[in-house]
Amino acid sequence: MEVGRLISISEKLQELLKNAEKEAEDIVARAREQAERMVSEAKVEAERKIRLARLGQGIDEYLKEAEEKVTKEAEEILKEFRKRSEASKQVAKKQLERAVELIVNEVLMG
Amino acid sequence: MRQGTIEVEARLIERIMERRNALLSSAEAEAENILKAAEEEARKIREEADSQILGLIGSELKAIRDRVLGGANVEGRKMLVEVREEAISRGFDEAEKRLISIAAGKDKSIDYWDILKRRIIEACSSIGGREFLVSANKRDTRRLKRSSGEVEKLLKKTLGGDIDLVFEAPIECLGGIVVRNREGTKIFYNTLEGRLLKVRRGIEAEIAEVLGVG
Repeated sequence: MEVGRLISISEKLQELLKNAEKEAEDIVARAREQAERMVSEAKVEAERKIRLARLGQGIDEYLKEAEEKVTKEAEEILKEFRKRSEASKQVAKKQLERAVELIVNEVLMG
Repeated sequence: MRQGTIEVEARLIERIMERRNALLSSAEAEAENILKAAEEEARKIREEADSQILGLIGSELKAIRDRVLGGANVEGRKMLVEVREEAISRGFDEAEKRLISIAAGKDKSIDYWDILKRRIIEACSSIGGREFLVSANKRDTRRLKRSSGEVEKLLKKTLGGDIDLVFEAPIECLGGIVVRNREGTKIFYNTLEGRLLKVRRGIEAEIAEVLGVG
């Protein structure tokens, strides 16, 4: 009786294992399907974008992105100019007296 | 049921469950790897497409770049030009204030009267002749009239012969003089503001260098 019970449990467990194997295969198969779909969709989308771009369409995003990128570069350029302007102002402030002397001398004596 | 049988059953169930869980975990890990690889491939496809599109719209991108960076450079250079102009103007404004002070006799380090006499000699020498009409501001006219003998003597020494100076009605100016011949055909402007303007035209670049904005 006990041996019979053990065999019965063993069969049920084997069944469970078989189901798990099937489930595992399904998991991998589903992932493969999804992966193929992802790659395929990416290819279709890429081809569509390239086709449109050849016709001069759908490029606004690219242009906008490029403009944003180059605007940042422009801000850096302006920052550098501001720095130079500020430095020039400071030098001019320090040298003012010398310049005034030179001008006055030139007006009176020149 | 015997205790031994229960233990065998429990071990069997445990082992099978472990195998089941391992199978499922392994499958999930493999699925994750597959999806990751697919995501990576899709990303590369998109990047490649973007790169091709950027190649196709290269001229538009260049136009944006030229416009935005060109604009920034123009604005930046304008900023430097403004700093230069402001610095030079400040220099000349300050110089003008100094000249006003000198002409008013407030700056004792400079003999303005001596300068005024030299300016008259310069003007008369340039015009030539014997008779000169001299215009100056109210204050300088008063001083010139008061010391006309001294001025005429100096002119006589420089130009030779008799000199006739006529002081005209005062004019509005910081200082200095305007001299003309009797006929009014020759005029020599030697006012301080006139000279200042001339100096500005002449040595603006030099002043910019001194101020460090050249």
